[in-house]
Amino acid sequence: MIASPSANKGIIALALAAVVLFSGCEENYNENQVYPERSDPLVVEQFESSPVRIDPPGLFPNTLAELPNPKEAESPPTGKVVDPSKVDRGYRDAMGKALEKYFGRPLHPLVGGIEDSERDALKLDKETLAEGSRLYRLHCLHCHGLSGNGRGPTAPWVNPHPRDYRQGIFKFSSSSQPSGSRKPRRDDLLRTLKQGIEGTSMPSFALQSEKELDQLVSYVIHLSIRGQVEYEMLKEWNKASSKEKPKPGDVDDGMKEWITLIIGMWKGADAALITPEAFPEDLWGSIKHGYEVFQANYKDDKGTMQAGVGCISCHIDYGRANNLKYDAWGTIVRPLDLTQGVYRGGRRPVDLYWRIHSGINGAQMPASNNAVKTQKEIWDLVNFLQILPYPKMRAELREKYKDYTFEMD
Amino acid sequence: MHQKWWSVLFGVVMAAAALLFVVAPFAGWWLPKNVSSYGPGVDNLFYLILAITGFFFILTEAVLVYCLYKFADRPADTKAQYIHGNHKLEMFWTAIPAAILLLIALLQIKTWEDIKYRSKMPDPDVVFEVSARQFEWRVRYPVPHTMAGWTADWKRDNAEPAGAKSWAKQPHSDDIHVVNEIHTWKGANTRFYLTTRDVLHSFYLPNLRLKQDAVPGKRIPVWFRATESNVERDANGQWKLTDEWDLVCAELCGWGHYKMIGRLYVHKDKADYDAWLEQAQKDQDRKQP
Repeated sequence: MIASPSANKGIIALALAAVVLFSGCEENYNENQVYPERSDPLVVEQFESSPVRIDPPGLFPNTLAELPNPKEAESPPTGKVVDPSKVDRGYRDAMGKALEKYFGRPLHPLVGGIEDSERDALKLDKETLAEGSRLYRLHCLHCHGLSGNGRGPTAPWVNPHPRDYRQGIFKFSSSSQPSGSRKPRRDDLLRTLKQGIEGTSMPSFALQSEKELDQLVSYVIHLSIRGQVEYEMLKEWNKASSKEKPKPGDVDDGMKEWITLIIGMWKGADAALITPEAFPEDLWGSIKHGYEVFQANYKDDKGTMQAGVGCISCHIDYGRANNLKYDAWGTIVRPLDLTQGVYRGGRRPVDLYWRIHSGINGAQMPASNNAVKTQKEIWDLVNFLQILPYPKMRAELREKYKDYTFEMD
Repeated sequence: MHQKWWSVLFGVVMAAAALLFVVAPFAGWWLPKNVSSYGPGVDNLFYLILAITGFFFILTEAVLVYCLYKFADRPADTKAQYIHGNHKLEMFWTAIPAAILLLIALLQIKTWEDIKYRSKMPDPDVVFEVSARQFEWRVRYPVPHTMAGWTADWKRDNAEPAGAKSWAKQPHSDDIHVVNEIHTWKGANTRFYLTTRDVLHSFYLPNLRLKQDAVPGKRIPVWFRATESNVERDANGQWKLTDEWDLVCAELCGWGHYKMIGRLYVHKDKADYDAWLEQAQKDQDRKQP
């Protein structure tokens, strides 16, 4: 050949390496890759304690050792965390088989056990899901994990951590369903993808085509249903007393029931849009009243004490001095600093309306549509929030109501 | 004997590299489309430097290949010759490149001035703010009548109005926020303030030959003027791109650096831009789903 025998070997090795490097990866995704069995602890009840600091980079706070109050000695356990490794092995194996039967594998995802009409309504057909899965692996997996567990390789390094879809909870929804069965509407998920979540590591994916975004949303819904089925069944097994634990033989029927229940919630979301009231005409009057409603209580025009919604009890000093809290996933959150003008779920008036009306799922932001006296008060709060980040507008509010004492700065 | 083949290998590879430069413009592998008012200045510098370095590249590689060929396979029985070098030759091949470098440094001053010097930036027709963050570009536009006020003051006083300066520092409640989209119109003097919310990024519009690092803590004025339009309105009134002019990040900023892509929308004229801005404002101000 060209040169000495050892140099020849070097050249051949280089050529082979080039072939391997430049041959691409995606088309060869492993057929046998399955969704991993859940091994991280399940948070089944909201923690009420306050964390002392946000988790340091590279760590998740919810290993069993770090989460407060794991009580497993009692039967049934009354703690807030379930250790999946304590669940009967036979039951878990049966669950694994059934999950694969109803939800497939990453390369061939599906949603079984549902009606065709439901599949069409939520666009959960096999073709859409397969393409969605491919796009998910390309764009989302490194943060959100293979099974949508929010524990991809990047996840421990970003704060807040990426969403774990497996409890079926999504923060930003415009659905009017009651909390506990509240799902995001398809529009909400599309909007999150298009505009990203300002203030977090979730970027905008607006440069993907509409079709691709649709496929991604379908796949995320698939992951969420699958994850929630697994979550609920593990929770159920744990909750049952030791004499009445579900058996492996019950898994298939049990899973079908859960799928039906959860699909119903997703379908219901799209039909349950929160339609805001008419926008108030007196803007500055609305802003002033929004300030009042924000407080725990206030004096009305007649001098009588009225109860406000009390946003200030969590958004202390309008968010400048908030305390840390735990959310439904066991990760650490803080009520938003409303003086920054950064809104994670969207900055449009209607987005803020939705957040206040039905709260933020999983994040301890409660629904206020029953706490306000009239629905118009939600607009008052929104209008107040919209001037809060701007010192000049706060000054203008003071100018308009010289006799009123505003404690905002 | 077989040692001479190394010179052939080198010669072939060097010739192929040179050939690539010849073929590239015709294969679409050359510079992206230049739609910038100061773009020709940048490209001319590029070609000048390419010609100079190309000449020296071919020269030195030819000498290398020749030496590889001529002096390969020499028997090891001749004693090596030690020479003291040639002082005159060394002076020559130091002074010439130094002179060339000095020439390039002088030639590039005007182009650099045109792009970077604030005193040379023309009074703008449109002003906005670009805030880079991991991993997207958040763009903030002032409402039309505010901007009209600034641009009028700017032209009158030939200096940055205080209002624009303070707006760059503090957002207004009626600002229009857009993600990953830069909008302007053909022929408009476009000026924006470049900031970053976290780490170093770099604002890079290849088609405008514009690159500016976004430095944490700084608010850097940047300007350009696009000479062509790439936006059309379709039957539904949606603005669609006829040519994709990317905005990319040119300073490694984390795992999403490669994904940090935006798009440049150069509208046909001010009226079209105004129509888009109005629509963006309406979209942001939605009070109904």
